[in-house]
Amino acid sequence: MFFRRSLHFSLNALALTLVLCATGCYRSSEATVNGQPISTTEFVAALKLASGHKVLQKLLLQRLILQEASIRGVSLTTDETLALKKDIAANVSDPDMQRVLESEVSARLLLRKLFLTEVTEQRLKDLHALLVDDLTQREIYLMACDSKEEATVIVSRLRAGEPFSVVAEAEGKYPADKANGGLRGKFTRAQISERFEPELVELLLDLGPGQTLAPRQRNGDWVIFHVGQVFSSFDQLRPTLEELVGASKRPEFLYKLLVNANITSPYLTDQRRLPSVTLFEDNPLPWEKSSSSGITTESHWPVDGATLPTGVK
Amino acid sequence: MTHWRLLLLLSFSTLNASVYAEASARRDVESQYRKAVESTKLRFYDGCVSMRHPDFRALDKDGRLINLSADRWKLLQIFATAVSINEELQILSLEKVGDSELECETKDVLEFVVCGASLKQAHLFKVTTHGKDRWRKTNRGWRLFQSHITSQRQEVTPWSPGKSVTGTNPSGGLSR
Repeated sequence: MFFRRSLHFSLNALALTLVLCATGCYRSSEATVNGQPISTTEFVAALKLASGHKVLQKLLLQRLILQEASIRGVSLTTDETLALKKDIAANVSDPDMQRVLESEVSARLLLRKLFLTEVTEQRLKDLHALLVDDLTQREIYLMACDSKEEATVIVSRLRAGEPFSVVAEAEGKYPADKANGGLRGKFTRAQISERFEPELVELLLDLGPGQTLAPRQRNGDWVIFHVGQVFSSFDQLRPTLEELVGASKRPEFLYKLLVNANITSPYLTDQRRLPSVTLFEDNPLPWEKSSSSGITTESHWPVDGATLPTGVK
Repeated sequence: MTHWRLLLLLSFSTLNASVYAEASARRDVESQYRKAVESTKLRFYDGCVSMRHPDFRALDKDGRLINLSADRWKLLQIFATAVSINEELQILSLEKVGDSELECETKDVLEFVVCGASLKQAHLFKVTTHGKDRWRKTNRGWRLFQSHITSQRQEVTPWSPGKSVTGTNPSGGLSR
């Protein structure tokens, strides 16, 4: 009797939940417009129409990565799990979104681990020896002065040991000189070549850590360039090397997981949807900056080879 | 010591220095090709082109200047869309042309897999390029001054997921 009443109660609750879900009233609406709600159901349907296949593909790739990691016995440590949860909680408060992000970040970390299990320490060291000149990052500081005399006095102060950041904050001509003590960022050789004039590039590349260039006239100002720290050792560049190796293995690895998996979904019946950006790079997390290169990763290749590069080095 | 002995010693040391310089140049150039090939496999564009001289130019098989920015875009497009990439480069000949230039004949095979309309309709693109490269000595070592493509062949074949184009030559794809 008790069992039957309990079952009856459960069925009623289930029926009520279904009705509420169907009418979009179970959860509070996503928005109200002059008192008229936009229901969660309506919102979800619109999201599916707009980018359902992409989101679903992202989720199924995550699932494939988690499955593969499990098969290969690769897992996150307790510390890694706690750190990612803390990071997500600091940026996102919605519990549902936190769960989605936990899965996404876990998949990212596991994917990295899966790649790195195949990469030996010696391989990374060989790559470091080969690519160190291109991966080395230099902190570039600069500040502008009105006259050569003023700039020369400042350079002698710097060479006498005054920190560039302190001098730039006090004497810099422009707000950008004063902000961050004149630090413009960390630049690789290629980034320096892209950003600065050719005659300046060689001079900057020749500067050692803590060295300052003689004042140079630039756009009507007298500018002082200074190099702060230079990051070139194996330990300093190790994350970059691991990133490089991981990014190069990612497309083939995910492609193989995808083609070998048994996937059924109404969103993915059209094979034209695959592969997309998720094969090649992680979508930025809500608190990360997007680093789009401007290169599309969704275009399909013409088999006639019309867009092949010429093959020059 | 007689004069002829001095002269012999001098010419011997000059010859020795010249042989050493040529061997050193060869090592430098080979290492830079190896870096470019490895960078292609890693899809690291900066590493692919950092051996270029500031005045680098490239010529097609008809001797016309190649638009380097368009070429850069195409290579980046491959890096961004290929499922897998492999490259092998052979130095066919390398000889000194004067004190500060080297001429090098190369054969480069670039293979990459891209998907067509469907995930399972992948194609392997194989681009075989023969070229004559001219290297110039600078204060930063030998730099590639000119690349002249003498011939190029492109093949496209269907590719099945069981195959891989990567990792076929762990030495970095450079051979002599």
